[in-house]
Order: sequence, then structure tokens, then C-alpha cells
Amino acid sequence: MNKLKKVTKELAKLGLGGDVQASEFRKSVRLTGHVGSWDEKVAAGFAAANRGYKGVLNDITVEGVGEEKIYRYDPGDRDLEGRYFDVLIIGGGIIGCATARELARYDISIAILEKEEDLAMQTSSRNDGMIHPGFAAHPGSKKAHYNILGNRMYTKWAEELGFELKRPGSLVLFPSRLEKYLVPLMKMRARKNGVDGHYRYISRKKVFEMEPNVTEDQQGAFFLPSAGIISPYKATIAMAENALQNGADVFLNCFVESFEMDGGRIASVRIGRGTVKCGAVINCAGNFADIIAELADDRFFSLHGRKGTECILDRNTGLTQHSILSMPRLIQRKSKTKGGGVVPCIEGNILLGPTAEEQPWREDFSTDRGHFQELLQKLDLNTKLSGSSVITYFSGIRPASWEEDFIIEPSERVANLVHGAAIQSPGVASAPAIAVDLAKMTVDILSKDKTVEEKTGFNPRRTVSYHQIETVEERREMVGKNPLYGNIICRCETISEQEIRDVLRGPIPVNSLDGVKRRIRAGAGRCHGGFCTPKIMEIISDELGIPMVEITRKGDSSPVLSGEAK
Amino acid sequence: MKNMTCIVCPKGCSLQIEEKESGFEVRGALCPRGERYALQEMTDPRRTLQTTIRTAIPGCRRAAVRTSKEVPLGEIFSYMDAIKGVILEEKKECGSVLARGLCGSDVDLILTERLY
Amino acid sequence: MKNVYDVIVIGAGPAGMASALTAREKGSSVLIIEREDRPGGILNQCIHDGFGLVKFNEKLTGPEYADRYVRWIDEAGIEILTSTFLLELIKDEDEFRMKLVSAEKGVFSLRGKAVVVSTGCRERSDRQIFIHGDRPAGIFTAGQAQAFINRMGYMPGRRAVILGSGDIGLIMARRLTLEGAEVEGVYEIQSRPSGLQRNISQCLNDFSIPLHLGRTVSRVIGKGRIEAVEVVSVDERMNPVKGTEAIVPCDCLILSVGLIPEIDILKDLPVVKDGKTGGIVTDDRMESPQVPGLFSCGNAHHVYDLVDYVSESGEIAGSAASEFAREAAI
Repeated sequence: MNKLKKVTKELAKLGLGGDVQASEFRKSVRLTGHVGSWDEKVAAGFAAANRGYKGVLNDITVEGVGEEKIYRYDPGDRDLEGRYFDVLIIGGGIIGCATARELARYDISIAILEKEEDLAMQTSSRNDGMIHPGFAAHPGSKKAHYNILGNRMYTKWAEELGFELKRPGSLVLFPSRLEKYLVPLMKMRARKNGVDGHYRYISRKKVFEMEPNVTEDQQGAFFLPSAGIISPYKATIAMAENALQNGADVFLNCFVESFEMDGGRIASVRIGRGTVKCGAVINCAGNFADIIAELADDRFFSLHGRKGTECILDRNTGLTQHSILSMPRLIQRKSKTKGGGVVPCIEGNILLGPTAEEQPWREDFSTDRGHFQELLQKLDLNTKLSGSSVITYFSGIRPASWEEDFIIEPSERVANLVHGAAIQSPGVASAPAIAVDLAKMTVDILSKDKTVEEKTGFNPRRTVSYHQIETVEERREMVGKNPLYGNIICRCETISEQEIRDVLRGPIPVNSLDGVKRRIRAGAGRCHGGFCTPKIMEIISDELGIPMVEITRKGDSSPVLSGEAK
Repeated sequence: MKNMTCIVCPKGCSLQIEEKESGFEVRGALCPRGERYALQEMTDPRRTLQTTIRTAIPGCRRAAVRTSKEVPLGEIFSYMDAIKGVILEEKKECGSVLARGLCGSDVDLILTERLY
Repeated sequence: MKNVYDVIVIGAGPAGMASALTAREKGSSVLIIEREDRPGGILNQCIHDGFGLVKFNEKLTGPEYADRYVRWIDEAGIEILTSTFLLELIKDEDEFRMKLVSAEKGVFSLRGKAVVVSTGCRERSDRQIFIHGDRPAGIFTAGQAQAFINRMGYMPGRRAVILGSGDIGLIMARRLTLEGAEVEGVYEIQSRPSGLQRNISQCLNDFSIPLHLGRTVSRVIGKGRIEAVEVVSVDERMNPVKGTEAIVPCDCLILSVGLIPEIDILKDLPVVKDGKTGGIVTDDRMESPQVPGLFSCGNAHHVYDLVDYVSESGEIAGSAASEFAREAAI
């Protein structure tokens, strides 16, 4: 009982000895009791983590924090009733979609079940799209392992799947001369983790040569050239589209209700659209992965949502900065900004963020004034930026485990379940590598019952069926093929009617304004859809035969209009 | 005494109206139209009304219309209902009369846009 | 159609049409480029009256005001290229070169001795005034709501809160009411309304719509579609005052919080932006001192109260552009 005593002692240190009880549940430690604030629950969770248990089940209740109603929409059909798939992937985020693409190499049937109306609706789209160099992760952690491998793999994945990847490198700026003394430590960590590229110290003079617009007071920097950027939702969708081309299926609006268990296996998955039989299940459910584990009676970890707010500046700011700018994490514990940085996005905008806020909800993507103001402090790193360039802001929720590491492993209790859980930052950067391992684990499970072979026809290259026209010359060529490429709808981003129609005819059904916006940037510019929204809706209505009043912003519960005028 | 803002032109004069034995006395109007407005407003407030009607013309869901003259403010919703009953069946010139004698009055309905 | 003109006007709204007419009267060859499928600009959706009192001494609606100009443009034989989008505008030696695209013509080029930029303005969005909370469907700019109702015949909501007391916001309060929606109130962060007094009177007071001054929307509530907003009073420094919050149920939030000249097409030219107006710096002939031959007018120059003055600025720009083109020819 040594471990448990240690946890109890740590809780007592926090002054929570009376309110919180620790007990053992299978191989994990479970916390129960009632506390006055979310911060106390979080502190208790961290205190119990990494004490030799497999995981922390933080079941402490908090005064004033009730149940969260998880969003679900059931289209009302039973189209999936009785169907069978070798693999069901729960969650259409970047991990689920990357894994589907890896599994599509094999001669098996695969389906992604996504509860939202589109892929990459939550954590996978609500992040900064950074392909981290693998420097920040703790040496020896799963995060470090998968980050390094994932970063490396992106070059090939981007090329095969046809999404944009840039490697502008990351400058960890030194606001004082003192940080220079940390360079040997930084190098050591980079070496331990196996960071790619010629990472190095950069003098003050060189920093200003590279980035003329950084603030005067920077005294040098640590440069990590392998840091990259992608559009995380475009990449996710590209992965899924390639999986689809290779025979996988994607089913949207599929909320997993329960599992039907049979002899220590998941026999079928019950969703609103039917009960689906399966050979194996992969849990890539993001902020809901612990709930999915519980449904399979395989509870050994719990997640807490760490919210991050980000803000995007007008595209004309993109030219003011080349590399990703951040401040060293090592010495900024006390400062208000918690990591994050100033990131030149793949689309040419500058992104600020993210913040980090522990909060009770899994799906509350609201923003607030306080965290937004905190975010704007990052403007200070680049002298050419100002608050007036803000065009939008949003927040996402990182599914963090109390151990602060990824959970990538076959279930110990359920024979045909694999977990890809607690994938927070650097999840996007790690996704390809995680996918390879999750696929391998799943194939091992399936192989026990049947022969699983790589299929001969697997095509790693995505057939791109829509894209945003970038240059005048390309537009000239495209208009030659179809005049509607010349009918410009979104004036801020110069997107034509046909580019939008192409998206609507893509392999994964899209019928909402946000669905269009995620694939090509129609409505994502500085006017924020002020002018083009009605036109985009008319195109959706015409192309898909949906009445105008039924078109949504982001799925069923969000119709744009309330009906006809008198 | 009653205060009101003149709505005749964008100047928006502040008017003061006082009822005297000889009738209403208006102050604050920079032009005679303001004075007329105030008197009208005291006895029978009226407004012009603009809205849209449905059309049967392909590619044109609504057409902009207005009343040919001001209508009683208190009856504005009755006029709305009457106007909404009118459907534009075919293309007409901007300024065409689309319906006569709305709500039994001498007010007509005028098309206010050029149809393409 | 030629591919060289004395004066090329970008935008066939009230400013652009006025400038084209004036330039034509002065003998220039003129072409107007318009991205929409018809001339008139934003007037086409402003179906309320009150336009033209200064210019015509008549109370016209927006589309009627536009119609007068379109007739004159027709009579003057001025070409308008509609559904045509300007992709690129550069100045090369003594002339402007542009690349354009339309479904009909594909990508094509034009050259002009002088260019008049009459591209109008856009509305500030919820993001530009830093509204926080959820991000549901049901948040519209006033102009967007106007386009939905007036051009397309759809309702943005049945129970509206309007933020900002700009004229379009006030006019939309009346318009929504006439179409059967309820307007819960107009909230204005400043201590006085920004729209015209007459619009307060005829759009709000006539229909008993409350105007809340010194109060703003602090939070949006609703996951899918908007369900309510939280409103709060602000102090003199515009900071929210604790304890004054109230939840107002609604199914749409309409913003009338300011307009910004839309001049992004000038990004490749060395124009100087006027920090105050958001337009470009010009002399009193509406010409950019940095880019001779480039003129700006209407709401693309700075946001005007009245369309009559927009047309007037177009006339000044058109006349000066014509003169410039004539001198350039010598």
C-alpha cells in the first residue's frame, strides 16, 4: 500500500486530506470526494499522477459544476443496423483518420464513426497546426517518441496526401542574456529526444536578420529548423479521404451509446444509426476517450479538458514574420503567458496562441475576455502586429490525462480494443507515427482470428477532388475548363462558385457553411462571410438540393435562417 | 408640450409642439416641411412604407416595393398584409404601379427596383 | 469592348456610377467593373427611403436612387462589366494594368490611364468588436440580415437583439418588426446613438423598440443556434460594470457596429492608408499623392452618412480622373 499512502500524503499536503479520498481501482488510483473549486480537483489529480499507478481516475465532484450534456445528433436513419466492419474507429479526428489511412493498407473493412457532422470538429481543428520539433516533450515519454517520428513522417504524408506543409523552423526567443546559458541544456534535451535538423543557438544579430520585426529586446534565440506547420483540419480530412479511396468508410452523426460485450470482447457498437458488429475497436475519441473506455468496462484513466484560446490575424500580417516565435518554457512559469507563440499559419495568416486553462467542460468552446487579453500579449513579440488585425478567435480543448502523456496501447481487459487516448499537444505532430502503431496493434488483434494481408491496390496518394486556386495563371487555366471557376463568390479569399461546388461533391459529405470553410476558405477572410454567406448558401442549396432554410452553419442544431419572410 | 424629431430629412430637427387655442404651435423646425410634419404628426401620424413582395420571375425571389404615399402609422401592419398578398407575375419597369387602392384607400403599390 | 480606357472605375455603386458619368461627360472613354451581377452596389438591398433628398429633393428608396443612375449610364452609353472580379491592380509606368476574371470572359487584362476606386465598404464583424462566449449560428451583420430579408426573402430570426445603433441597425430593427419578428432591443455601448435621430424616431420609437445606451453584449449563449445574449452596462472607459449583467433570450444577434472602407485591392500599390477613416490618403481631388492617376471616392474613401454625398465624391473623382487621363494623353 506504499503507493496509496504516498498519494494520500500528497493530497494532505494540498490541504485536501479531509475532502478527497484515494482508493485503488484495478491497477489505477481513484480519487473521490467533494471540493470547492475546479483548481482543487486539478491539483488533486496531478498529485495522484505518476505515483506508480497505471492511471488516475479523478472522480472528485466540484461545488457548482454539474453534468455536461454531450452534443449528439441522430439523423433518424438505421442505415448501419446489422453491418459488420473488421475495424471500427471511434472518432474522426486526426488520430482516427490517420489510423484509418494506415489500416487501409490491409485487406480489411474499416469504418470511422464520428459523432459530429464533419471530421476534425473538435481538438483536431481547434489548434495551431504546429508540427513540433519534439523538443518540448519530456525525454523518454510517449509524447517525445511519437513527436519525433511524426514530425519526420509529415514530409512524406504531406506529399502523398496533397496537403501543404511548411517547415519555417521555430525560434525560441531569449528575452534576456541569461537564457543563453540554457543553450547547452536545450541542446542536450534536443539530442536526448532525437530532434531532427541542425538545431542551434542564434545570436541577437542573426535573429534580427531572420526576423526583422521581432521586438528590440530579444537577446538571441534557440533555433529548431524541423518545426513545421500544416492546416490540421485539411490534413485530417486529406487522411480520411485517402482512407476512403482505399475502401474505408466514414459515417458522420454517429454517437456511440454503448458496447455489446461478449466474452471479454466488444461484439458490436450501438449508435443512433444502428448496431454495428465489429472485429476490433480503436478508441480515438479525443475528449471522450475515457468515457468510451468506461463503456467497455476498461476504465483506467480519466481526462481533464485544458482549454486553449487562439486568435488569427488578417492575412496581410503573414508577410511580417517567417518562423514560429515562442518564448522558452523553462523560465516562464510565473509569467502569465503559458507557452504557445506567434505562428505563421499555412494560409498566410499569423496565429497567436494557445492559452492554457484548466476547466471542467469537454465541449465548451466559448472564449472569454480575460484569456483573450492574455493572448493579445503575444502581439508584443512582433512589432508589426496589432490588435486591429484580429479577424477571428476560437478555443479548443486538449484531452489531457493526469499523467500528461499519450495513452497508446491495446486494452488490458478487452481483447479487441485499442486505445489512442489523451492525445493533446503535440498530437497533430505525432499523428502519423501514432497511427502506424495503432494500426499495428489492431492488425495484431485481428490476426488472431484471421489472416490479415496487405492489399496490393493500396494507393497512398490522395486524389484531390477540390482545392483553392492560388494564382491568376491557375485560374486562367481552370476557367478554360469550366467558366464557373471565374464566378468569384468569396471576395476576401478569391474563391469561385465552382471551387465551392467541387467541395460539395467531395468524397465526404459536406453540407454546412463551416464544412465548406474548413476545406477551402470561403467565408474565412476579413469580412467574415459578411458578403458571401448568402451566396454560399445558395450554392449549397442548388448543388445538394437542400432548402435554404435547412442549411446549417455547423450541423443539425445550427440552422442559419429561421424561415421565410412574410 | 410635445417634443419630437422631424423625420422629413436627415437633419432631424428637434421640434417642440404646443397646443394653443389657435391650434398647434411648432418651434425648432428649420424649414416649412418640418412644421407640416409636426402638425400632421399631432393629428394623423403617417409613414411611407417599403417592403418586398414575392415574384413569379425565375431567379428573382423578391422585388422591392413602396406605397405611393404615406399611410396611417396605426394601420401599417394592415398595409403590410395587403401588400404581401400581391405577387409580381412578370418583369415591369421600376416605378410601375403593381396594385391600386391598398386597404380601400387611395394608396397604390409601386415597384421600386429595376429587374434584371 | 476595348482593352484600353481613359478611366476605369472599379465598382458600380453610387460613387462609381457618378464618377463614370462625370468622366464621360468630360469626354473620357470609361469602363465600369462590377463584381455583382448588376450595378447599384449596396443600394440594391437598401429598400427603405430617404435617399436623394439633397441631390433630387425627393425621398427615394435605395434601388430607385440606383435606377436613376443606371438609366443615365445607359443613356451615356457607358459600358459596365458585371459579375467581373478584379484580381490584380498594378501601375506600370504611365498606366494601370489590371487582371480580371468573369465566368463569361475568363481571365483577361485591361489597361487604364486613370483608375477610380469606388469599392464601397464592409461591415465590422462580431470578431472585430471582440464579442465572447459561444459561437453559434444566428449572428449576422446588419447588412447581411438586410440581404437575406430584402433580396432573398428569408428571416435571420424571429426574436432579435441588435447591437450597435448605426443607421443600418436601426433600419433593420424596423424591417424585422414589419416582417413579424420581435426586436428585444437595440444596445449601444456609447452614451449616445450613432445613427441619425430621425431613424431613432421612425425605426425604434414608432414600434416601441427600446434603445439601451451605455450597454453592450458581453457574451453570446447557445451551442448550435444562439439562445440568448448577456448584456452589461459599461463605465466611461468602456469596461463592463459588475452586477449589471442581464440575460436576454433571442434567436438572432444583429450587429451594426461600424463600417470599414474596402480597399484590399490596392495592396500592391504604394498608397498610404488613413488611420482614421480606413481609406487611403487623397488630396481634395480624391487623388492619391503617392499613386498619380489613382482616385478614390464614396465609402471606399471614407464612410459617408448620405448617399447624396457619396455621389458627389464620385463626381469630383470622375472629373479629376478625366482630367488626369487627358493630360496623360498629351
